[in-house]
Amino acid sequence: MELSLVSLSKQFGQKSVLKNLSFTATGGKAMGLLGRNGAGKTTTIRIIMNIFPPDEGDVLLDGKPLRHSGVRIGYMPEEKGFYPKIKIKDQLLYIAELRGVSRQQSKKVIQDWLERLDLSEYWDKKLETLSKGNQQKIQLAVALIADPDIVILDEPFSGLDPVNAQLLKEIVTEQVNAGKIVLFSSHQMNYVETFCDDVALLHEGQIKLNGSIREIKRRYPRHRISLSLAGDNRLEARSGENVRDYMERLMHQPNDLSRLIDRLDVVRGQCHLILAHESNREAVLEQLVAVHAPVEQFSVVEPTLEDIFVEQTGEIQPSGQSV
Amino acid sequence: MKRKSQFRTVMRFEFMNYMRNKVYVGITIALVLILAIGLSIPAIIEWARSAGFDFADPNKEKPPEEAIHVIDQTGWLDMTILEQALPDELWVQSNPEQIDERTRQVKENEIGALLILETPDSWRWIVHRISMSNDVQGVIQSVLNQQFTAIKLTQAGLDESAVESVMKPAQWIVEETVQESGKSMEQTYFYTYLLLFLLYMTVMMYGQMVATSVASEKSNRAMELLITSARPLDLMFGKVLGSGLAGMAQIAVLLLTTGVFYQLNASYFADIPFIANVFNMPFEIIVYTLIFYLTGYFAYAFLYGALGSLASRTEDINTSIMPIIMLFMVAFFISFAGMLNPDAAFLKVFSFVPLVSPMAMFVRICMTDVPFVEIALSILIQVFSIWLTGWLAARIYRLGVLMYGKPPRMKTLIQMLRNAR
Repeated sequence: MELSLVSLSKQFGQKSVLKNLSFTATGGKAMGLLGRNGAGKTTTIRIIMNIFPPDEGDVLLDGKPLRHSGVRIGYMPEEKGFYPKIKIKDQLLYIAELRGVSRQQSKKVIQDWLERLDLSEYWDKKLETLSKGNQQKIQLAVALIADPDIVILDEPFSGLDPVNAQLLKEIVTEQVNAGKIVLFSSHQMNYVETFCDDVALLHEGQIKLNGSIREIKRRYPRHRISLSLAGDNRLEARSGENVRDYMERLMHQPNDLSRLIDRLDVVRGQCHLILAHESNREAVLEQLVAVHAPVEQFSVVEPTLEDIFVEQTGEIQPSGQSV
Repeated sequence: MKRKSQFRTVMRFEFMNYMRNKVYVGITIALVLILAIGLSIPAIIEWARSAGFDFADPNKEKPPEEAIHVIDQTGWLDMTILEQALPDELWVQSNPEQIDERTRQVKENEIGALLILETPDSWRWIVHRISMSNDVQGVIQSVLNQQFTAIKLTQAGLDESAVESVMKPAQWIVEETVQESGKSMEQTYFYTYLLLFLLYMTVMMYGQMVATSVASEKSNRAMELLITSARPLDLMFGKVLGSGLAGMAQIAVLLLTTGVFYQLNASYFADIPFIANVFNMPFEIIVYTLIFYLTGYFAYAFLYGALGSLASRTEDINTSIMPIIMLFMVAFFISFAGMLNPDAAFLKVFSFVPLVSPMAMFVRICMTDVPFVEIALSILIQVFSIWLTGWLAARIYRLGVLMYGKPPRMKTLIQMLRNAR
């Protein structure tokens, strides 16, 4: 199965929210829709969910326009909520019935899911009595209750503690392994990186990057170098300097290093170099050898998804937002 | 997925929410109890009295503090006439010398009242406070007037039979031709009033419940899940019907309670004409009450639901449903004014105007003889207006449910409806 978004555009009033957006999510692979707040993730998902139509473009399933009556879609909206004053079982039975699960079947399915999510004791409780994290797990149950072919989760990790986030990851992985199309949006790169195969990076309503994470990382310039020198003690014995002073002195000497290296960071004796170009790698190493630097390790660092995200969206992602 | 079953699922869920709602169930039970107890009060009093409780008994003699003292300076008074005319009062004849004493006693609430007949043409009535409901004064006046006039006539030289023929009141026979059809205003006014009020209350109450329920689905964010699981039309119609059924159930329970407890206590009410009139209303009126509850409820409930969908928070509901409340109140007052003159032309016109007709036509049916063709036409118009408001409501609802922020103005709303595909 393949869910394709083709040239979607959407305007709200004067504001253009999506501009000619296209990507494809494939069954059996987790697809992460990344972007900063306001990048257009939720709008994209709402168009897929047919909450409102796009101004232009199409949503295709296996090449044909997506018909909601013909396919089951499990959806967890960004704004998570349900009836606070109604018992969990009644709400879940209701939504299951709306999604076409028979009454006899749905009770069994719901009990299984609550057990899986470690929520069995809340079967007969009102939603408002649950903690926020548990309410969110209920949302996951709601999304998966009807055994959907397509699973769409909008910011599923927000508000979950690490243990629950792990549980969510396991469940999503199961869904992926069952061959379903799993699409979720997030701005938390660490979660996305650990189990997404494909990503689409949205910025201001446009796709900035799209493809498998491995491909994207491989395509990405390999210009980050991790460099370990023999520790401070040995350097000090030789020249009375620590690693930082030593490296800075090298950079200021009349050699090529300052031209080849863009940026130097030293964190706890470990050097991080950003090269002006990835082809400078050999030259840098040669220079270091030439000055008899006590190199212990010299390796290329793969960019993390977060590095790519920050670089693509131009601004620093505020840290501490990940939960 | 199947459309019909979704609609029914929503309806059942909404209906069950009422049944599970402790407030709804509690209010219904409270109303049932009030009706049951209220209708049993005469029986309860009688039982309590037979069990020995001391209740205010209208047949019991009044205490001296309520006695009416009479001082006759004319010598014309015949106390038995007063005693016959107002047998419930305690009459005491006092001497003319006691005037000051008795006046003081009235002032200090030691006796009920003092009547002084100074001359045949001038009487004085001294009372601590004139009560609104008491017509003792009027009765005394007319009884004594009659007696004194007779004495005056005798003194003027008329013989007894002539006096009698002069004093005899004219015969007053009332024949109301409309009575054959059972639509006498006197009989119908009270129950029409009750039922009109019942219509007004229930439509208003359940309409508001629909609006609140839609708005709270928005504010608790259940809406996005619902709207992606069912068609907006099914959600809206299911909700309106579910609430409507809950309203019907409540009305039915209340009517049933009233009927049963009236029947149990019917003997006590036989000689209270206005209560008997209410319960002797023609059966067709009950049927029409249900019909017009339904047509009125649906026409308004759709509008309530639509405007409820424009509110993002439950606090905004009142602002957003204000237009319907106004409209509904106008409709109510038109019908209410029509009750004073149910044959008026304006009521006739309004009984065919959508959104006003459920109440206006109902008043006409209750109080006058309306040709069946007109009733049918009115109901037809109402059904059509339900269809119209339902269609309009579904369009507003679809736009409104995911719109957060300030409720839009009427003008922007119309514009949005035009632009929507």
